Amino acid sequence: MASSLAKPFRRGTSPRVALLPAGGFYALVFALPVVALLVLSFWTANGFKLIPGFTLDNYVKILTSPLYRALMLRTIGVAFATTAIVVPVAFALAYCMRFVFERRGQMILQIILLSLFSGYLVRIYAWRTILGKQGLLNSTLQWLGLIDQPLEFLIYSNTAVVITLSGLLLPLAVLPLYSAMLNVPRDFLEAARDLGAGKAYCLRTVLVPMVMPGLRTAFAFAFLLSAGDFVTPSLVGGTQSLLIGNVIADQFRGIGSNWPLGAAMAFVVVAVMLCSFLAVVALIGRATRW
Amino acid sequence: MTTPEVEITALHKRFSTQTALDRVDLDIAAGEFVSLLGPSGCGKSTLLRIIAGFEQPTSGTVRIHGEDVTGRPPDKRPTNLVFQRGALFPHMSVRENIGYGLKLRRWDQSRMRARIDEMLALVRLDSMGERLPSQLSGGQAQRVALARALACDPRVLLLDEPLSALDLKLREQMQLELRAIQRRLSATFIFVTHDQTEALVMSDRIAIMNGGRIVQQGTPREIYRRPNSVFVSDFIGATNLLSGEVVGMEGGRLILAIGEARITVPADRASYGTGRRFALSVRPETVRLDRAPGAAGLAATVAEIVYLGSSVRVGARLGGGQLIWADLRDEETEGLDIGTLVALSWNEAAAALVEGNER
Repeated sequence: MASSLAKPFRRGTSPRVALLPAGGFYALVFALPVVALLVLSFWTANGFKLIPGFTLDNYVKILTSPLYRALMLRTIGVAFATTAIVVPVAFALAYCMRFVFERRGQMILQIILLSLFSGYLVRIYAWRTILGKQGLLNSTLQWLGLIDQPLEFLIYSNTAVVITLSGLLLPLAVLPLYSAMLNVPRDFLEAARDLGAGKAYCLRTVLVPMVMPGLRTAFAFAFLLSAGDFVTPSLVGGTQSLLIGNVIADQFRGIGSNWPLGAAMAFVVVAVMLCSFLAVVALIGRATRW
Repeated sequence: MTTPEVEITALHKRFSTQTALDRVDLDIAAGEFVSLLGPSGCGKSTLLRIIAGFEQPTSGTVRIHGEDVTGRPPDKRPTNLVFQRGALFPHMSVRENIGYGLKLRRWDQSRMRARIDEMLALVRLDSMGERLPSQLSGGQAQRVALARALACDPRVLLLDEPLSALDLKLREQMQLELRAIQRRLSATFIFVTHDQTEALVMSDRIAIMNGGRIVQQGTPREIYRRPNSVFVSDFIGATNLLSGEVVGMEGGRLILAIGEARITVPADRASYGTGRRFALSVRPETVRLDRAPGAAGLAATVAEIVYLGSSVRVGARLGGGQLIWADLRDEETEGLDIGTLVALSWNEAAAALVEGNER
């Protein structure tokens, strides 16, 4: 009886059948647009008119233009800086929630989730009021007498972009790390300590490898989302902090738009980010090999 | 006497609202296998975790090999712990798990390889070195956990109910194996369990804990034969507890009233005044059952017969209504039926008078 219950489909067909709804949805809303964009990246545009064809001109233009290269490097720089802040902070926070606060960690999780309810734009504007020339941070520091003049670099700068992106992405990075740590019983950390490992060695050789999937996801959220963002730089960034996302967005709207060029840029960005991502993940993997 | 390997003195542990350990004293000799036995929540795991260094006592000291280790973190103690669920690092092979502590001690490759081989042979898993923990059975995983803990050659090996997740057959086999390994290494083992059979089978000495205290310690035989309280006699093995009142004294013997029946027991303790209540613990295997009319003993009527295969457990009811169990050999029970009138008696030396009220 039990065996007939366990086999609702004939052996072999069931996994494929079960994948159909999710797979179909994925194909429709992700794979199809991506393929369309890929095809588009080989076309050309004349004003608002798209001319089908196959040319690598768009890619050549992107890879040879100093402007795009500078933008790309700045984007990678901002993404790395953001990730370098977000992932360690998220790891520490998730660690405290899981192993220090234990059951009360769930409450902190609720608060973090609540912060996600206040929309994306609202939170960027909130950071503007904190970092602005007359903002919360500057006026507090002035009131405390620590500075005479407002700190100019806090707003409309790369620093502002990195701080704001870090604030936006921190909750997203905490979630996968916390859920990964929930699957690590305290026993494993204690076993390492018991065998003679110090705290740092125990984290590096036991906890980090055991939460690697969560760490990878947190890293992906922080790195890829900050690299793809274009709203934050346009609201808190200065003239010198536009990112590649802003330029791509410009290719798809208004005067001077060029869809094929924008599509090609998008793919270059994806390729570059993917390579950086994999490189860093491989690096972490190597560093934590005990 | 030589210094004990482990000396626990006046150990006290309070968690925010409750006392987990209450003035615990325990000495353990080198090479001794000691079990901490008790029901869940009795403080046995807390005691073990304090010895391992995972918990700090509120007061009291822990000495190992003469050295005060209270306050030292677990990585600076000459102890290793085998966890209840093994806690083998899932991303490392069996060999890497066993070598984890050795690598931390900066052993060189060839010495480490030899030690890991030695440990694998000790737990009879020679061919399993390259496997991942997920590819091991429950019993194999616990053996690797044992090998990992023993690899660093701890002064004291701590075991936190390491067999409780295994099924009965495997558990029994592992008990003997663990005992054999302990003897071969003449290592000091402290074993936490809630399973009284396990403690009896394996230990040189058992410390029984209840409510944060050690209520009795002794060899398995002492504990089984001479429990000092109702709690211990009830917790270890099956027993009949006959509660009664001292009604008199007669030539160095106490006269005890159990319901309407009177029995006499040797007064081997001083403070048994008339009127005090005691319980008499009588093991079922020491109870004799006599069907001959007029036989000496407590009169009872057979009320239950439970066939166990190797023996038959017979329940006989006294006049006062109390049921007394007797374990008999199969052939002794032929012709016995519910309602048969019998006389119950037991070897006096096998019965223990214990303090504490009835359950």
